[in-house]
Amino acid sequence: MFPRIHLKRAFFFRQIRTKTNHIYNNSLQKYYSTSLRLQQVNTTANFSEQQKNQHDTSQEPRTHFGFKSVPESMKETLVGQVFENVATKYDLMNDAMSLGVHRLWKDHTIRTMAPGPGTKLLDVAGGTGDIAMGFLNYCKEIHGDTSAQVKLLDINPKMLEVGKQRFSKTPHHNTSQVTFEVGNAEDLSSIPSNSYDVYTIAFGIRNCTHIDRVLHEAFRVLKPGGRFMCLEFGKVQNPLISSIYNLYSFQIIPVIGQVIASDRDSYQYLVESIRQFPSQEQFAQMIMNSGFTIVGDGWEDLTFGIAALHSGFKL
Amino acid sequence: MFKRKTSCIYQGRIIPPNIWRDVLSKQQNTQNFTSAAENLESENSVNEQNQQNHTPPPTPPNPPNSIPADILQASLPFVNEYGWTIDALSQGAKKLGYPYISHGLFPRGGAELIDYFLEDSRKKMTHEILDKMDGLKVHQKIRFACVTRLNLTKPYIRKWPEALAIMAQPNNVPMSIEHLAKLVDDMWHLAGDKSADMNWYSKRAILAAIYTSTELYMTQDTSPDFTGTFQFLNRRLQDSATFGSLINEINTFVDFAAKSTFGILSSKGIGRF
Repeated sequence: MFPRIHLKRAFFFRQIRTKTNHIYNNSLQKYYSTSLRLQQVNTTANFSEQQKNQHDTSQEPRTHFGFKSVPESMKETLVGQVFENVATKYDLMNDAMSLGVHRLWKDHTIRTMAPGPGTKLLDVAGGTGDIAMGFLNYCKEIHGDTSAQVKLLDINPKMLEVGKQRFSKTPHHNTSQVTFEVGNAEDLSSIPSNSYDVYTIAFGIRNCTHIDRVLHEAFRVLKPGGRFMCLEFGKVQNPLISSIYNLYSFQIIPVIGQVIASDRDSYQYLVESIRQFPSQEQFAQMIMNSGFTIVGDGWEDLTFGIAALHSGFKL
Repeated sequence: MFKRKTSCIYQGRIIPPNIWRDVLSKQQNTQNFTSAAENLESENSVNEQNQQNHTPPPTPPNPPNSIPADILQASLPFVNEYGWTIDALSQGAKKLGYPYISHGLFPRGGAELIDYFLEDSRKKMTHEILDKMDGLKVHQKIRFACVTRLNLTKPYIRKWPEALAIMAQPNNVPMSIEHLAKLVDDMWHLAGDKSADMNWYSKRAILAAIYTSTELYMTQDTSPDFTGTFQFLNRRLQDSATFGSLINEINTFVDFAAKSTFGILSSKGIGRF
């Protein structure tokens, strides 16, 4: 990887000399350090972090929270804090960060699912209800059907509250079509086995501590023939687009977060957690390992792989 | 020996004549062919408890299982009502007790149902005519194969224009061409074709043209029991008989012209042929 970075550096320096723009230069330096960190992040943890770990002397297994390493029990609280901070501005931020593209991704997810009359959907990490809303609208507009049901499950009551408020302005309000529940995706004990047609989790599984437990629970609650769908950020394969994407993620998204939601750290976590999430191949393998049947590759890249739509069937 | 040959066809590769010739030279006689065919049939009936020939699903899921193929099989009866769509697939899934959204197993939707139907019909045709070919002349065998295959399309003929439209979509064109190539290759193989020259290609091309045009005619045929279609087929086969002799003449002429050109050139000392 190092020769490639040198190449980039040489390439950019030529431009900088002609421009002699200090700010530009500065941001590029940051960008290099970010991509260097990206190389290192999976192999070595931060030195100060390691020292802290030794002081903790806890035997508890550790997990990642962005680029940081934290005890497993802490991740849930930390993620909870992040989403509590941004809940009210969540939808606005999504639009600002993705330039509206996340709507296309979610719309594509619903169209791929193509639910029919009476489909029962469990929308885990549903939060503000994008998927649930799209699902109910699809059923109504395509099939003229009002018997489809969706359960919105989120671990964060504040996010769920935003979703409730949003649904209260729609005709689905106070019908049996939509129900809300606060719950953890890793432990769906309140939901009986073999009870749902579709399980969706959009941009949520990344924040869970144990992805394998989430997948296992998903497999349990789905009916035979049911479909697990996971919309999640992926890895961009194209090197050119990948470098632009990294630059955008690390330099621009935290700033947008600062300006709109006045919370830089939460969005720093967001972009870091995207880097920590397994690649499409690895995640498809994890889905298969939990017992799901996958068709073809098992995922579909959206926008060069920035997001990927994973599918698994319980057969 | 026969198994190797059929496996070649089943994989649907158009085998170049030079390889094909090797295979044919190893084949002892036609008697061998029929007996081996019977073996194959009995083998199949042992392997498949179900009498209907299940073809493997178009995009094999991982880990492989037979449920997608079952859903496709169960979906075919719904085609006349819902067309070659995900709705038909969903109804098939529902019939087997799976939820509506199981159609997601077939990401290409109706095209996969068509894919399955074509593969399934081709195999059914092969099984149906395999042991009824004795004593027929080549053109009769071809006609018999065409009629058998067209009869399998009959139940869905009112929805067949829709299937043709789906097959003509650019991303499905390779699939439809592959199926047509496999079909005509099977037909010629069953008719005992052993050509190993340019005829190998021209025969298949002509039969493909005849079959597709007849199928197209059939979609618009309103005559009782499709007699019009079969008359149309007869006329096309007759045309091809004249056309075939024309091709032979052209082949001879081209051959002669090429040889004499080379002869003239070498006599002038140009090139060393």
